[in-house]
Amino acid sequence: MKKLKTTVLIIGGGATGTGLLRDLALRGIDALLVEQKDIAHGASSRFHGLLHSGARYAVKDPNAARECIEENLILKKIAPTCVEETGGYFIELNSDDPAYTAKWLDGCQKAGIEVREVDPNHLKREYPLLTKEVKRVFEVPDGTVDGFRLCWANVWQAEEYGGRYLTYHQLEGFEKQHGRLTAAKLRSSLTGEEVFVEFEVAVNAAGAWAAEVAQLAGVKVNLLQNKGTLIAFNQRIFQKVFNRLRPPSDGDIWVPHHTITILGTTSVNVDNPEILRPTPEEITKLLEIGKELIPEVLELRMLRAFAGIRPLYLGEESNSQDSRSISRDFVIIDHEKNDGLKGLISLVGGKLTTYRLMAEKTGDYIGKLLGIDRKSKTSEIPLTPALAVEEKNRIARRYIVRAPKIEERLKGVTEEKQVLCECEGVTVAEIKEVARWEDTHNLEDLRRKTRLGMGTCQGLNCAHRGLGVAFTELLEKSQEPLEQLKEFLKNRYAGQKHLLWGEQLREAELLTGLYGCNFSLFGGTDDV
Amino acid sequence: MYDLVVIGAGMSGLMAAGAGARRQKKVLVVAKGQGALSLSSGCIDFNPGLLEREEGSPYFKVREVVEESFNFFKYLVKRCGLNYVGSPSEQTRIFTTLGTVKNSCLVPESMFLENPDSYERIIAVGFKGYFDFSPKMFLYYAKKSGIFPGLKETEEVYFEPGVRTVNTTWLAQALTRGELKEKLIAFLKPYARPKTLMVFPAVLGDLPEDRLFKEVEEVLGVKVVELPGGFPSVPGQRLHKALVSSLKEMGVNFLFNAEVIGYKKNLRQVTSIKIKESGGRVREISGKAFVLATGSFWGKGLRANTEEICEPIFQSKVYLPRNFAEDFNFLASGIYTDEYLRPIKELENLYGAGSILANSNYLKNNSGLGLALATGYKAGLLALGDGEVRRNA
Ligand SMILES: Cc1cc2nc3c(=O)[nH]c(=O)nc-3n(C[C@H](O)[C@H](O)[C@H](O)COP(=O)(O)OP(=O)(O)OC[C@H]3O[C@@H](n4cnc5c(N)ncnc54)[C@H](O)[C@@H]3O)c2cc1C
Ligand SMILES: Cc1cc2nc3c(=O)[nH]c(=O)nc-3n(C[C@H](O)[C@H](O)[C@H](O)COP(=O)(O)OP(=O)(O)OC[C@H]3O[C@@H](n4cnc5c(N)ncnc54)[C@H](O)[C@@H]3O)c2cc1C
Repeated sequence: MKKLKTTVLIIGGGATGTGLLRDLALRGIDALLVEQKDIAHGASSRFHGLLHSGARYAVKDPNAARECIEENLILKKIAPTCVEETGGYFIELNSDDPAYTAKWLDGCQKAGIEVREVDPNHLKREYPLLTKEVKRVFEVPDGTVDGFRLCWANVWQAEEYGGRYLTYHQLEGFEKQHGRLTAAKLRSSLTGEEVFVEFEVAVNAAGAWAAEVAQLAGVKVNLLQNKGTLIAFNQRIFQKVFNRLRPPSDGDIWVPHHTITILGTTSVNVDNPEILRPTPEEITKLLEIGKELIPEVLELRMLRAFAGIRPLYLGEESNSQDSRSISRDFVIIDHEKNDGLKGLISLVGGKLTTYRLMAEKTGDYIGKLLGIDRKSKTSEIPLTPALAVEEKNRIARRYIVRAPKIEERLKGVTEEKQVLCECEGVTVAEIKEVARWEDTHNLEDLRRKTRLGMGTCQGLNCAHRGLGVAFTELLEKSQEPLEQLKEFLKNRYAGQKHLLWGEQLREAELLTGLYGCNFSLFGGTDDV
Repeated sequence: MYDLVVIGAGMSGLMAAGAGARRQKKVLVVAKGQGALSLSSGCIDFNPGLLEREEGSPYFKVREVVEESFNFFKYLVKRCGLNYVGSPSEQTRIFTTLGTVKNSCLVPESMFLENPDSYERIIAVGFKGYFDFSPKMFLYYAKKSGIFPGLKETEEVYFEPGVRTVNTTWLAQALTRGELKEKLIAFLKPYARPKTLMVFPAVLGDLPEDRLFKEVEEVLGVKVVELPGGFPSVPGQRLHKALVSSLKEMGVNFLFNAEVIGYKKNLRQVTSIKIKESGGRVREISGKAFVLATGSFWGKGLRANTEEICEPIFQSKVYLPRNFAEDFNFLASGIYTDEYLRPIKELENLYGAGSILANSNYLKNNSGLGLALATGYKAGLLALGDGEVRRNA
């Protein structure tokens, strides 16, 4: 059994946990983050990717609106390679209530969100797919955010400041002494190896799993687990975020990301953070509502459907079930105050947009507990180096502090310049280099870092090529390379299978034919 | 007026046309594209054991023509210099570029590996700047497979074709034309020793008659094997080319880039089909009998929207598998047919064949091209009113 020691143990490698790791590292507080799977395994990648301007909350939750716009501006400044300043539109349709628009405009003004009215005819010309029912359009400073990249940027910067992290390590239990948690038991989900970590404070940043983690410590966190389903389209349908101008409800936002667009989301309560399966009803509902903005939505090529779980904090003994009326704001629970258990803090709720603020507040709190009085530097120190800002500098934008290693390779051997994944423009150099990294454990991790196989072809051509190109590197991992490929394909199909009609179904057959027949990787090959 | 009009130029359509040509009938094949055939590995999967387990499989309607149709297929491709090895009652094991083992039935001679235990040395030949084949990966899994018990050493070698970006199509053409072939052979010479197996990705010539693998074997005195892999699939393309050109030589007419968009009938007979040509021109073609061999979803024989699956030309009734999305069950979708492969009772001269038929999940039965071959051939015979076949059926 491996033994480690840290001052602060962070459980959960989503935006919340990685944000806190960065915050503490920049303050010079020793911290170790553990994540059961890869970084951003939970809601921080299974989400909509909207960098809220706050406008969505302007009427119902002015507090959240204000936090969003403040954080929105900070993230655009410190992390320009993780967010895209697309801007967003709020669209009032003929069928929408104009009285809501008036309230909304008022709310935005009070929260300090800049709003500019746009000529609807201009929009109709730019987007012929759009319904003719558009009545009024307002532009707001919404943006988009890449969850994988943001989380990794946090981790990698923290690493430069002494922060440590372990992926594929699941927390299995705690050690308690005299009413205080003193150590955690982890297990590697790749090798089964046990790891024992002593700490002074543990932070439960396990998102939708926070209740489970609290339970391991013998305390309770009252969470509502709320599933949201999303559909990804294979093209950038809109250049900006498109929101419906009406009280927030299902399916009313379209977010452009890199080469694709994501429509979402639904809101269904579930009783387990692992229930990630979009249901046919959810898909139908999303597309029905999507139709109101794009009447021909069913003709568009879709890539996959997926779902994430929102951890919504219910407070103590609340039994409210209408999840959208619960504030998305976060809480810091010190279990010493709540349950008389020392050494554990739970950090739950919030939005990805406000992750930095959550980390700052938590960092302050931990500092006080430990008697270390240092200010948070997360809003001043850029998360991504300045050179990465330029649009053309793709490698720097994608790999941030680790970009130089890839740029080095691209300068060298010529065939490494070749593009292997055509949809996402990923080169051989990127694949070989990222495969080498210690925090890349399999082809799926590689995909998340490079975007290999994330585009229209969903890995049809590039998955087997990628495996071949990085074979030497991937052979070093604990999982067999062909098993890594199978898992990659399984996950791609898991997203496709909810949308098996039209062109998606044809593509799904192609993928099955190639990997099932030509490569005989799965299916009926057993002799009788 | 054609005796037989076949819709679709995949394996099943081409075999239906072949059955007609063999009987000196006037045959036309109308096709929009190439279907799954040219994307396939070129290996004809066929596994009666698995087929027998598939309830309602079209296999039960064609069993008696399997032997004959397979022989006829071999004859057809051989006419173009493309040899296939194997028989319907046996499984043949081949390797793919990933190093996986594929069980198939009829395989191109260039992929056929007899007596794997007789090799002491494997040379995996890659190409510099070509990323569809990793010799390293192949060797790793080939060694692990246990299929080469006599193996003493392996080596990966990389031939430099001398251009910056190398793709499959270019390689397959360049290797058989001009000086690259000589260079390749010269490059490989030092590795030529007895009991050596040389493996290549399947790029040794783009044409059915290309026999570069044999030439390398003869010049170097080694055994050469091609490995099927990703797209584009040269062996699938060779197969398509071979079938089409043989059939052309036998007098079959082809109309490519033409989409069938409807039909006309008289009483219980289809009299003509309506086609749209690439320029947009619409016209009618009449025939005495018709074979519907338009493939599955990829081929466009079946079309799905959010509500249902339809067969767009004749609106034949379609079987929708339960748990459609689970376990790739959607592949079993297809049109219902009677014992004579006829999809619609009211249309007596229309026959269905290939992956458009219900209950043929080629992933589960590992019999995609093989079943398309046999059902296509039989549909052709039935369409020509071959009495004997009908009695046997
Ligand atoms: C459908 C949907 C759409 C959303 N859209 C937006 C949006 O557009 N904009 C926005 O700002 N916010 C959005 N959100 C909210 C946002 O995604 C979340 O608030 C945020 O990602 C939460 O981050 P987190 O780190 O707290 O949780 P997570 O990202 O879920 O991270 C928790 C991590 O803990 C790990 N973990 C759990 N148990 C253990 C254990 N025992 N041991 C080790 N590790 C463990 C998990 O694997 C996981 O990676 C959306 C949420 C959902 C569900
Ligand atoms: C990627 C892939 C790889 C495969 N690999 C193998 C393999 O290695 N070995 C194996 O045994 N099986 C393999 N299979 C399965 C096998 O290819 C199929 O089962 C078989 O090819 C089906 O043949 P078919 O003639 O019925 O259909 P297809 O080959 O799909 O042919 C359909 C034809 O109909 C035409 N068509 C469709 N609609 C119209 C219309 N309206 N008008 C005119 N023409 C039309 C198409 O253009 C095409 O020419 C593979 C399948 C796929 C998808």
